Amino acid sequence: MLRFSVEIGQPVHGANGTPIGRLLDLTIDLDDPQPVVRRLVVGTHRRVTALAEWEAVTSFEHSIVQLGSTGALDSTDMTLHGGLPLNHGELLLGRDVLDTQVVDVAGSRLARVGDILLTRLADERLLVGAVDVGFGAVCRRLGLGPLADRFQAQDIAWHDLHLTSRQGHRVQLRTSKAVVHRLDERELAVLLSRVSPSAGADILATVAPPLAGATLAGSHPALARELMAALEDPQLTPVLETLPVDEAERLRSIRTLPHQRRFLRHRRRRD
Amino acid sequence: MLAAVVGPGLLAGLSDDDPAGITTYSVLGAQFGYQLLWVLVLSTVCLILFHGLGARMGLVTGQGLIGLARQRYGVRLAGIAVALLVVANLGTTCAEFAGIAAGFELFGVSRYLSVPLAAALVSIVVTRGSFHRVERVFMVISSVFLAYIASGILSGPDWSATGRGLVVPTMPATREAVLIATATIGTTLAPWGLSFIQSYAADKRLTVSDLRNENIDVVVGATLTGVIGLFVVIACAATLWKNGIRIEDASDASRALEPLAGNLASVLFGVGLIGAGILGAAILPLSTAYSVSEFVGTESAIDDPFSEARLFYLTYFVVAGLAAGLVLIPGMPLVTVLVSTQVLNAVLLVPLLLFMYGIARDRDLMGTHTASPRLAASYLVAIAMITLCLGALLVSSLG
Repeated sequence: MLRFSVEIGQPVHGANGTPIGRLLDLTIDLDDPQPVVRRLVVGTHRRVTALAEWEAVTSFEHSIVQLGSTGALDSTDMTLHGGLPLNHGELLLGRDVLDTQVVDVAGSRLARVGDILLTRLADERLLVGAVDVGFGAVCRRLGLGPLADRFQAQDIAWHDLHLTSRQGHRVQLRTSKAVVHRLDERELAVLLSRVSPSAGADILATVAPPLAGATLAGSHPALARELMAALEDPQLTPVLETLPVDEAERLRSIRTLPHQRRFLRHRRRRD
Repeated sequence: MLAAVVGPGLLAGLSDDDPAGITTYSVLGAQFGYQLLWVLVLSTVCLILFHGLGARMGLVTGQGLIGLARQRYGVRLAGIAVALLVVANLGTTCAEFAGIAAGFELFGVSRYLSVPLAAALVSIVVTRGSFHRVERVFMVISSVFLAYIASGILSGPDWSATGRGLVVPTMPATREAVLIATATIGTTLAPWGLSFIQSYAADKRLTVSDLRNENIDVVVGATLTGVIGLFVVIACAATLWKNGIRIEDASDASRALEPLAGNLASVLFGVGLIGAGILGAAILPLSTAYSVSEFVGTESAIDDPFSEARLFYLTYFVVAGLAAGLVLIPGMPLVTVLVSTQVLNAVLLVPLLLFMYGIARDRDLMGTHTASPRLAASYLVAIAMITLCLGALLVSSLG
């Protein structure tokens, strides 16, 4: 088992053995049910100088990463936080997952990723197996090893997570393996009450519309109001269509502001 | 809808008018009269700008400042920030309890009674109440700030001098004037206030649909903060400055007001000091608890029971209990603690503002609410001005 935070920062050497930079990040493809590292992001502290396909890696060790060939990219104005030409569904583990909030579906709570655990497969590829959300992982990254050992590792399997960060979540929407899809409406309502309304709306948008509708209809009015306010129209319409007309109307009415309701009543009377 | 959203801006703003702030405003009025009132206008503008940004970040991301800092800048930088914040917040909480002690001593109540009672009161309110009940209690406590407005009016200020001081920026070319002007900006915009408003807005579960109303909340809160500061300054200007009386802290001001503006003005000033101390003593540990939980990765909320948010509540108890205990230690060099805290807050403020600037410009985090180039430029100008002021304050404090 490799820890992402330990692997990051090691020198990367090109085909002829010359150093081409340091390992800044790793990318995965979330469409892959068992995500393996797809590309290496190489560069200096601030700039990305190359994105190398995993197939170009001849050796991935703690002390050095050796590439056989490099898919170099134009380095102009390229940083980890903007301008990287990632493919659709391609996620940066360091930027988009490490230290981001995740919903631990099993524990119905929010957690923050302290480290990412990678498993070396038989063919040397790296599989993203789990994330460690324990404080020990944070201590280890701060160089407080002895303190880290006092905290139990809290590993959550990758497929049990629901990413709530904007970038991570956008990609997560297309996956159907997350445990969130196996919750019933009551369990889902408990989970939604623990996360921010926008994260809750994102979660609702990933589950089947009938389940989302039943959850909204059965949840506490205050929670329903928050979620209705956070859901965007394209997300909300298919959900409300699964509900009886009067229930959908009730939910719509708590979404509109009082002055909007007065305006709509006035319009209806006038028409 | 506005009533449902009001809270983060109002509380974060008003809690900046804590005993340390009231002391600064009192000294400003007692030493320079109405001349430096324009500094309050400047600090109010900064408060609107950065509390507005903090609230927006909380609404858009649903996360607090330290949590976002860890996500955007990594554990090392966020770790340094949270460590400094905890120490600075502990020191500032000491200042709040010292203010409560001084306020009650004006009415003959011993600090050995008032401080433990205040610590117990704020701890019970936060741990036993739901979010909405806690917020209501905070709002009721905030209403004591009206006492300063009444006290200012009762002191019979010179309104034309007040108007001139607000709009005509002049300053005596003395070290003392520079020091008090920079201290006024430094005391109004505090690191804990920035982290509090964002975490509290997220805890209140506000969303981007509440952004417009939240902006109103921030503007009203910051403006009220400035108005209360204004009345503290004019109360002291109309009485102490006019009669050439120098003061060291806010309780001195309250005592000195009695023969000059009457018993009621003096009592109201003292009541305001106690209320400001209690609000600060309740909010400072809360802000610390939010920040520590966010850094550790176990974000918690006021509505969470103790069993599910141990770290959150333990942080609250430790900060409130330790600060109250420190204030009660006989011979404790409180002035040294308060000056060191002020320096620490000054050191921490600029990096936090830069964190906020970086997050505000991060399209991945802020999406369509990313700060526009024009708004970003205004943040940079304000940060540059605050850096200059705090640099001057730091040099003066250490000199």
